[in-house]
Amino acid sequence: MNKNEIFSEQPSEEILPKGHSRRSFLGLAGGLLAVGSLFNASCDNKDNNPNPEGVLLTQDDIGILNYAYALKQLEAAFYQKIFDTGVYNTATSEEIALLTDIRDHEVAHRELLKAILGSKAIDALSFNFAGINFKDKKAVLDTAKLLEDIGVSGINGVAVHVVNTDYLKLLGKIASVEARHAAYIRDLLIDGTFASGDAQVGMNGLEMSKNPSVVLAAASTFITTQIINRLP
Amino acid sequence: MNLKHILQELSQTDNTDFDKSEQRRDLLKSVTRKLALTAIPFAVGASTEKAAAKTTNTSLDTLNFLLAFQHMVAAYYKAAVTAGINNSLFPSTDAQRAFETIRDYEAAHAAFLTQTINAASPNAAVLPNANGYDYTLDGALLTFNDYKTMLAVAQVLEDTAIRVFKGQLDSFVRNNIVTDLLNIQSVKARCAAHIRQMRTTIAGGSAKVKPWVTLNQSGVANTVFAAGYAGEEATMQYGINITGIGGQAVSATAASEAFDEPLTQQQSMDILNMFLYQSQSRS
Repeated sequence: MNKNEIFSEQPSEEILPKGHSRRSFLGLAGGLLAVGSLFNASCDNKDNNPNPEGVLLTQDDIGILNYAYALKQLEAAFYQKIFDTGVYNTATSEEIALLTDIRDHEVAHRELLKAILGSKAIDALSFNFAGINFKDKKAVLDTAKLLEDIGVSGINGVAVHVVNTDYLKLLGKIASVEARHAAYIRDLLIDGTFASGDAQVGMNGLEMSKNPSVVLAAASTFITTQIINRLP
Repeated sequence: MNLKHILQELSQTDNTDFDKSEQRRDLLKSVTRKLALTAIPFAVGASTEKAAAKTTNTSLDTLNFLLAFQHMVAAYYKAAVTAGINNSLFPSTDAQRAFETIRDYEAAHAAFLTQTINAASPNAAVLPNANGYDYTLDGALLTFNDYKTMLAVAQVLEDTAIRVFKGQLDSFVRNNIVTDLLNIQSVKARCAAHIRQMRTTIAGGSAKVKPWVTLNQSGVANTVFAAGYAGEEATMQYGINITGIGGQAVSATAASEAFDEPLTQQQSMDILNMFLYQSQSRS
């Protein structure tokens, strides 16, 4: 961030993390990103019934809330799938209890955003988790780590565009709980990696917030519904 | 001395603590005044500048308030790492490394805020409290002599700091500072979750502090610290009841955990002042 512009009213474009240039280009090109459509071929999820017209994330506050709602749908569906499949065998009772908590938190976030959006909410998304061996602890937690990290960095990266103060406050309340989830999942994988491991925290001890195009590209591995991204 | 003993001792000295809390309230007033005075130089400057500069100075006051709190948190981890080493408190190198990691992040947050404020207005950033900080509640806690207590205070500071930063988001709507505050609070939340797990581990699982905040429970039976958790029990968001929302099996407990609640500036100042030394003779 340019220090001379810190108090300007116009948010500047986020600096994109290295390694995402191709995705970012896709996201920026025309503001359109059809996520998931390339991944349908490998899908064996019977819930998979993508809306051919997809869902639209508009550039206003409604679009931003719908973006959060989309991520929450994904996270809640993933954690539910863990329990539907049966939690990996090595899970301790504490792990099961805390993973249950996380699922319930994600459901709470999803349902609240849906309720606030009302008739402006995007449709329920379809997911494909076929690539994940839910009986393998590392496979499950690696996915959870990815989803929690993009949950945090995604909200952090988009909140500057929110106009409505109540929405901003709400996203702030959700983001830190996502970070708590992320830290717990990371510690389950390798204790002590709560805020490190693969550069989730950058310069100045700040979380590396991400643009919607980067986040949606990462989420597209699991979302089969087409998402049209016109977020700021 | 274990935490239980400390807490029992505290509960037996309630009257004394009440007197101390009265003193603390006086102290708070003096510190609030001090911060207000500190803010005056650039507030006065603003009146001679263009009118447009006023917003900037309000923003600087807010950032300085956050920095004042941040200095206190950063100083805690610096002292904790030193005491942990000197007093052989750390049960493992992992534990020491975690404190060092968090110390470095907290120092970085203080440096970043200082840099941000000074870039906007040279030398405007507040400095750490000249008389130092007291993390023992006037000697009631063996914060730097008992590992469990050191962890408990760390958790309270971390959880509280998240709420302090969150509380100022709406001062910077559509300003890039929003991103910075969120990026700071989420790193603190990661640290808080880890500290909470460390507490559970060191207590053999019996502490039962989850990585997230359940209702308004601190997991520290010290009423002084309750202020850092007041309001965290909220189960209503945006006027909507989260318990059982959408026909889903979301308990009140999960409903409260799913959202971290902001603190106002006044609430934050009240907490900050529990940790400030009033005069040099106290340090």
